[in-house]
Amino acid sequence: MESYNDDIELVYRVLHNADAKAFGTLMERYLLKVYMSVGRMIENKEECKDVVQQAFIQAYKKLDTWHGECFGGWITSIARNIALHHLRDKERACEVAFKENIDVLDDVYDDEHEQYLQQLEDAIKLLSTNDQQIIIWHYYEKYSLKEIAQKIGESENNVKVRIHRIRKSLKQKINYE
Amino acid sequence: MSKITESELDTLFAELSKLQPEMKSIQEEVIAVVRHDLLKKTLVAWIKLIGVCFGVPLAVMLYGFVLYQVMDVLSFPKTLKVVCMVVPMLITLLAGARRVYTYQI
Repeated sequence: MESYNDDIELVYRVLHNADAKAFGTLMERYLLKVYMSVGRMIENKEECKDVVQQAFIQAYKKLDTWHGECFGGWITSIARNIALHHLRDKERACEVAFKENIDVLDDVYDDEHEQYLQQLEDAIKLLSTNDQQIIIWHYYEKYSLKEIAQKIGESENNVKVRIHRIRKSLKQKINYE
Repeated sequence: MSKITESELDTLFAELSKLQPEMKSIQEEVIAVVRHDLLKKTLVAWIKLIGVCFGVPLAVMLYGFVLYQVMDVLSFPKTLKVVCMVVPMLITLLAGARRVYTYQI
């Protein structure tokens, strides 16, 4: 509910205060969901990226037609429509090919897996800024424990313990959702 | 949904980490478009506002001047002259005030 109200607030800020940051926050919230949804339909990474970009730009242009329904669902449906048009444009929209495409990608990103990824991303956002930074360094930027320890001025062991604690809390958040 | 294991968590981290650069680049490009559009909208809104603030009084003055000249030549009664001059000016003033009060991008 809080997230829903936040969405309304963010859309209001974009429309009435010309606040680009608010749209950035909306994007952060739903980008992964939209990307995965389009990824099921379009295999090619570059094409998928283009479609997601177009979807968000179109959503921004149509923002005043959003009636307060679930924002994630709304933007995903826009993205799916664009993806379908894209496939049709490429003459790949014949039913068989399309079905095959979906089947193949469904094996890669099934619903549960997609949900886990989304939950993990959401759970990371709920961590404290310091913990988030450690996760980014360790998992995204592939820093070693020693490098992280130097950056935050703690011992390697302490970093190890912190990562363990963060992982435990992330797992709990994902499992309880 | 089943409980997530340590190795599954590692896989999820690996996938998220692979997706991060992609997400970042999408976000940057979309935000650049949004910023550009919002800036354009703001500029247009300001130009419209300035147009209303200066353009409307100018039009009213022009109207008043022409009307005054016509009435002077045709020697209209004084009351009619006043009504013809004051009413449009009042309407313009109110419309302008409303426009400024409800100003938004």
